[in-house]
Amino acid sequence: METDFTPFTSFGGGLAIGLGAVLLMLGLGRILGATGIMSGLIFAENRVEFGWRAAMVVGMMLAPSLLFAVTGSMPEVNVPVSPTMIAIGGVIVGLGASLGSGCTSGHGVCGLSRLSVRSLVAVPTFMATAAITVFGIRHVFGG
Amino acid sequence: MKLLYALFTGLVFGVGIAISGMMDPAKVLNFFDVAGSWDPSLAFVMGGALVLTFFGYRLA
Repeated sequence: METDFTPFTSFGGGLAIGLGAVLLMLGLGRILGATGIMSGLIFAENRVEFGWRAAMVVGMMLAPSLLFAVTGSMPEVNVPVSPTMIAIGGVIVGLGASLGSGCTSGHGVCGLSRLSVRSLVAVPTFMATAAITVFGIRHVFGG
Repeated sequence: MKLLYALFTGLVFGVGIAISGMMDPAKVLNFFDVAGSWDPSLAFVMGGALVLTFFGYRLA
């Protein structure tokens, strides 16, 4: 399905994502990797590690409601694939983010801005893999 | 206090994800569908986030 090209709101949202990452580094000295924060929440080593991760995830979950309260509309969410594919995709993404030591926010935002060599390798790799996967599913197998 | 701060950073990050359109899986997928219904918005999200973190991390 088609989606609208939104350069301005996307850039603005990107600034807020970056601000969140900088604030987390300033205040707690942590890298904002969303997948890592989630897995660290489930497999928390102790209460302190659990606490800040849980608080952050709650903040993330409250964000759409805050936007709704301010703007009166919810952000658009369209899921053009089946629940089975989501579940399979989720497992593969989780494995990939663990093996690759980072996800879109950890490597893509925090790592690239620190010019981390590992991230400079990881980001083009997962971006290219995603493009090849989408091409295969949509244009070769006609999903 | 630390928990409140963490909640606030999560809120800022989440608002960013929501405003940027990246809560919408269709939009994320379309970034990768160059041969089909291509939507380059994700590049602008990365651009905005990188501009802020590139300078912000150097100050932090």
